[in-house]
Amino acid sequence: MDAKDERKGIHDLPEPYWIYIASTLLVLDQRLFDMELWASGRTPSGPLYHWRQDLSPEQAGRIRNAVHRAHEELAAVASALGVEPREKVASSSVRAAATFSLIDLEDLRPARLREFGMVPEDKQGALPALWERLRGPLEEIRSACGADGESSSIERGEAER
Amino acid sequence: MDQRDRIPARPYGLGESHLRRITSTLVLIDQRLDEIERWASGPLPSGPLYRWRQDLDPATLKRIALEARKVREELVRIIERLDLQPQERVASRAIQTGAIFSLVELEELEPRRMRAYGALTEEQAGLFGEIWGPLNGPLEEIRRLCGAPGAGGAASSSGGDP
Repeated sequence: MDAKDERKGIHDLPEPYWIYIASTLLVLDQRLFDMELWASGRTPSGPLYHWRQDLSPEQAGRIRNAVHRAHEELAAVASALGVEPREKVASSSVRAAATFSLIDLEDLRPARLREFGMVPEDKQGALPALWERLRGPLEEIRSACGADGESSSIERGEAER
Repeated sequence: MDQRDRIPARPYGLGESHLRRITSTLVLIDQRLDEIERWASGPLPSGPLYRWRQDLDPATLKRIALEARKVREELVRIIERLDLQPQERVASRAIQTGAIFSLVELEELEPRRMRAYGALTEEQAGLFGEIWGPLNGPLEEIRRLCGAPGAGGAASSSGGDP
């Protein structure tokens, strides 16, 4: 059965099926990318977390092979179902990450932290000052990406030219 | 010895729960910074189901990288002030978790689980299994290669030094 015939049997499915299937496959695809990244040793790190590579080179190689096979199967599934790849733009992802980080900072206000126990009254002013210096650069990042739905910096530059 | 001698002074008078909450929030921000830096500089993730388009110009990318560096510097300052301890992550655990979640999601695509979206004919239900089935093999293998949950990574379970 070729890909077209395969889809023919299920092309009548209602729209919610397709939305659910496409979004699940997209999540699987993104997870495979992360797994490949971790197995390649290109692991993320920052001041608050660090990675330890506990896989032997041989195991990491086998995992990368399995990820590669899973990617091939995923491509075959997408082709069989006629699911088109989605396009993502860097600006919107960067803006989303900055926005979520700013929301997380809100959760560190003394009023919110009180849910985890009383914050000494004399320290309640000092704590926001600690986080406040994170806010500026995060807002800068968000504004560098433009407002939601606005054209990207490349598109704006082309329009000005 | 009174109580004050036994309990070490906590920065800003914060309790253990506060510090856990603060650490987990700051780790999230730290991880997002890594993503921001990746999107703004390095190779963008891609796969058969999604592709990336770089729509930020070089000057904007430079500005974002600079601001991300400032956030990291502030994070380091906060860590020192609050005496927070960095968390360790191991590759095997992260990969295994990714594989397990992926297998669970594949299970959610089984016809009997998808009834909520409408009835399937027998033929359609059969095709579903045929289509997703081949994805299970490599995902199961990835999970197996990372060892049983809680058993440690491949290198440690095989006696290797991480």
